Amino acid sequence: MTDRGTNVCGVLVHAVPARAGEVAQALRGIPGSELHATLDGGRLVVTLEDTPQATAFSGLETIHRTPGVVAAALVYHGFDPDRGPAAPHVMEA
Amino acid sequence: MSEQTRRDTMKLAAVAAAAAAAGVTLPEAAEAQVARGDGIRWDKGVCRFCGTGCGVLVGVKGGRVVATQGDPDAPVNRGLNCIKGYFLSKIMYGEDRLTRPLLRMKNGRYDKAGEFTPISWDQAFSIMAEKWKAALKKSGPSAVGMFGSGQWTVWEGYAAAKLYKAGFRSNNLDPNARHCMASAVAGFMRTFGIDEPMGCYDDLEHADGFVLWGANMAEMHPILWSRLTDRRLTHDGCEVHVLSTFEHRSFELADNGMIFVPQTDLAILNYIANYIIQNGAVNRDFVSKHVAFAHTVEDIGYGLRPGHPLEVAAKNASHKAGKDGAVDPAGMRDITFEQYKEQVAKYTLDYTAKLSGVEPDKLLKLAKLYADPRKKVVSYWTMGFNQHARGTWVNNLVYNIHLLTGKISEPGNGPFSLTGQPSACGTAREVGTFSHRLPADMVVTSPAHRAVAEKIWQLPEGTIPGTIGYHAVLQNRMLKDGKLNAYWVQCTNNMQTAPNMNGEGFPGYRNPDNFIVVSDPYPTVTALSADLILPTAMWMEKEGAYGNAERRGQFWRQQVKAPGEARSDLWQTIEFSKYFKVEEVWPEELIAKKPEVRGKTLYDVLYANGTVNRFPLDDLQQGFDNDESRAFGFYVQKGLFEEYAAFGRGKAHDLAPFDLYHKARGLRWPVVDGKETLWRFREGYDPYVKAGEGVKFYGKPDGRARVIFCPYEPAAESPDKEYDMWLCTGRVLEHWHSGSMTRRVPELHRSYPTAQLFMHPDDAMQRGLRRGQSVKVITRRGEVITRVETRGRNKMPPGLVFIPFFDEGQLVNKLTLDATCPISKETDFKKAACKVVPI
Repeated sequence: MTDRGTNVCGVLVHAVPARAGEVAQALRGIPGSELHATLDGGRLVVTLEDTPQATAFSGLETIHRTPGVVAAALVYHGFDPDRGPAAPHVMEA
Repeated sequence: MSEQTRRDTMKLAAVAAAAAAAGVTLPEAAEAQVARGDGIRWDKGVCRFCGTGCGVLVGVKGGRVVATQGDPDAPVNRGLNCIKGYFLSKIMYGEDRLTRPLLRMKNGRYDKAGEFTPISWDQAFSIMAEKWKAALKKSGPSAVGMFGSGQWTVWEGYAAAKLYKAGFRSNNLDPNARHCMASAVAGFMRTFGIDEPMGCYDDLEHADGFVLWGANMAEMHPILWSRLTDRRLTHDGCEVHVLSTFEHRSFELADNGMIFVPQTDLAILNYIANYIIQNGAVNRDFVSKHVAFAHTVEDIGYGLRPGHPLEVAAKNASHKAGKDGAVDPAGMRDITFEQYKEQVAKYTLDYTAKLSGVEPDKLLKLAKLYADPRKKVVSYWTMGFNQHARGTWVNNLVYNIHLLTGKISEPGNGPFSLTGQPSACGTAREVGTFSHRLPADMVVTSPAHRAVAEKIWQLPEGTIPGTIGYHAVLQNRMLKDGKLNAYWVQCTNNMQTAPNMNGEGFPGYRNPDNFIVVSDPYPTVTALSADLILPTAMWMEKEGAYGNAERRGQFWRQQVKAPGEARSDLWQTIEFSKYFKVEEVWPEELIAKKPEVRGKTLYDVLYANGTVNRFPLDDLQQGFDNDESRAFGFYVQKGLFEEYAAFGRGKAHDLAPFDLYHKARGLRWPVVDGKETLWRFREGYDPYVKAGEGVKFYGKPDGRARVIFCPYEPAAESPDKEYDMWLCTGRVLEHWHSGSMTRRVPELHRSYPTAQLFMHPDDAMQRGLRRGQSVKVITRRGEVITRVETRGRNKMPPGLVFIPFFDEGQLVNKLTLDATCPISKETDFKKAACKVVPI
C-alpha cells in the first residue's frame, strides 16, 4: 500500500433518522470503514482507511451514494502522499 | 513511528474530530489529544474550492501539509467539510507542479512556434515587458489585457486592478467570475443598486421553505446542503422545492421536484408573480413603502458577434445601442403596479405549464409556498440562473417575487445567490476586477467614481480610462481579431472553460500577433496554449484572503513554501510593475499633472506609494513565512488591504481592520464598530438603516428596490431537425470545475477518470446506443468523443443531454456557443443544440 499512500478519514454521516440502522448495516460492506458511534438524529461517526481493495476516498464516495444517507461530511483527513499516476494530460485542440 | 502506529494515531484523531463535530466526546477522544502532540502544527485556513467558504484547520509537519480537519470554530461549516476537503492538501502535490518559468523558444530565442524552455524570472519579465511596451506603442492601452480569477486572493485581485486600470490605463481586465457570477451582479445592481446578497447562511436555520432554481446544492454546495437537510428533517412543515432541466441528487430531498424545458424559468417566475397578484398575496404595505416598478428593454439579442444573424435580427442588440432608435439592453422604464400586473397576467398556470412542461399541480404548489404569508422562504441559485442568455432577467425575476411578498432581508426570508468560487465575491466583485468596475461597486464610466479611485491611489486626474474594457468573451474575440496583443491569464483555466474554444479562444491565443502569458501551478490546457508559462504558488503557499457568498471575509497565514521557483500571483504582478517607467506607459500630458512621477517605475507609483508599503516586516504574522513581504521589504498584504478598505468604509462596504481577520473566523461586511452585518437593508440588523426607517434599499437613491418586468424570450439556440437535443454542461461532485487541481489527485483520478454524456435511456435506444458506448457529440461549432451514461446520479429527461467540463481529454467547450446575457455578458453554458451519433 505504501506506493499508494495512506489515507485516514473521519466522517460524520447523516442518515434519514428512520433508516440509520439500515445505513449502519450498509457501512459494514464498505472496505476500510469502521463505525464508532451511532448518535441521535441519524448521525453516525465513521472512519475510513485505505485497504488493498479500495481507497478511503472510494469509501467516501460509496457512503455518499448509499440509500438513506442524506449527507456525509469529511471532518478529518490525515495522509501520506499517493505516488500513483494522476490524470494524463493531453492537448487535443 | 511505524506506519501502523501512525495510522492508528491518525485514526484516533479522525474519530475524535468526527465526534466533536457532532457535539459529543467519545472515549477515544482523550487519547486523540496525544495524537495532537504528533509534531503537527495546526492553524486556521479556508477551503480552496467553492464559494461556501468553509473553515479548515491545516496540519503542517516537515514543511508539508499532512492533515486537514473541518474547523469546529468556523460558523459556516461547524467542523464539517465536504468530500472536496479530501483533495484540499493534495492539490499542491501533483507530480507535474511547475517550478520554473517556461518560454516557447527556438534557437535560443522566443518563437511562437518554439518548444517550452526553462528561463529565469528576470528573462520572463523582460520578454513580457518588451511585448507589453510594443503593444502599447503600436495600439495604445486597448492592446493589453488580463484575465483573472474568483480564486485570486483579495490582494492579488486588487494589485492586478491597480496595475491595469491605473498603471497601463486599460480596463481590459476581467475575471473568470464573468462566466459564473456576472448575471447575479447585474441583477443585484438593477434591482437594488448595490451588489451581493442581503441575507446570510443563518437563513438556513430560520426558513420554512427552500427553493432551488438551477442549483444542485447536494453535489456543489454539500455543507450548506447538510444544514438545509437538518432544517428540513427537524422543522415541521419545512418544504424543499427543486427546479432544474434534469433530475440530480438534490431531488432526493425534494418535496416538489420540477423538470422544466430550458429557458422557461423566465415564464415560471412570471407565473408566480401573477399568482401572487391574482390571489391577493401582495404585501401592500411593504410594496407601497419600499418598491417601485419598472419594465425592462426587450428584444436584446444574445451577446454574439454583431454580424451573427441573431444580433442582426434583435432590435436592441448590444452593438446597436444609441443607433437608429435602439436602446441600451440594460435599460428599463418606470411603470405602475397596474401596468406590471397587466404584463404578468399573460403568464397563467395553463400557459406556463404548457410552455415549461412542468405539471400544473407542481407549479401551483410552488406558487403557494411563495404566496403564503406564514411561510418564510429562501431561494437559492447558481449556474442554472447565471449562465443564461437572460441571466440578468432571471435574477431580477426572483427578486420580484421576494419583493412583492416582502419576504426579504430578515431571518429565513430572502433570495440568495450562491457562488462557485472561493472569492468570486471577495475578490472579483468587491475589489472590482471586472472590465467595467472599480472597488466597492463603483464603475469606470462614472467620472465621480474615477475621481475617488484616483484620489485613494494618489494618481493624477484622468489616469483611469472611462470606457469599459473587454469582458471575458470579448477578450477572446479581440485576441482572434488581433486587437488585443499582450495578454496575461492568472489563476484560471480559461482555454478549457470559455465557450466556443475552437471558434474564438484557441485561434486567439495562437494568433501570431499576440503574446500570451499564463500563470498556473500546473500545465493546464490554457498554460499549454500560451507563449510563456509562469509557475505559481497556491493556496497555503502564500498568505491569503477570500470573501465568500455571504459577504464573509476570511484570512489565512502562509503555511508552507512553494516548490522550486514558483511564486504567488501577487508577487508576479507587483514584480512585473518594476519593468515599466511611468513615461513608457503614460502620456506627457498626464505626467505633467504630477511631474514628480517622472522617472519612477509603476512599482514606485502603485505599490511603494507611501500607503501600500507603510506596514513594516515587524507586523508579519509571527512564526509564519510571508515570501512576498520578505521580497518587497514591507507587509504587502496588509498595505494593499488597508488601502483597498478605504474604498468601502463609510459607504456600506465597510471592512474590519486587517489584523482582526487574522483572529476571527471571518466577518461579514459591512463591519461597523467591530460588528458584522447578517441582514442588510433592515433596521436593527444593518447599521446603514436608521432608526424608524424599518426597511431601506439604500443602494437606490430613492431607497426603493425595483420590481422589473422581464418577459419570456427564447434561447439563442434550440434543438431543431438536425441538432435535435439540448446540450447542458456543468460540474460533478468529485471534480472541481476544470479539474486542473482535482485531476492531480491520483485516487480521485482512478475513481472518476473521464467525463460521460448523461442521456435518457429512450434517447439512447432511438439512436441505437448502449450504455458505455463511444459516441460523438456534435454541435455547429465542433465535436467531442465521449461515452454514454444512461444511469447514475443525473437522470435526463428525453431530449436533453448533460456533460461535465472537468475532463481535458474531452474539451466540451468546443461544443458550446459564445452567446451571453447581453446585460451581464455571462455565457449561457446550459443551452446549445447538439446531436449524438455512434462512432
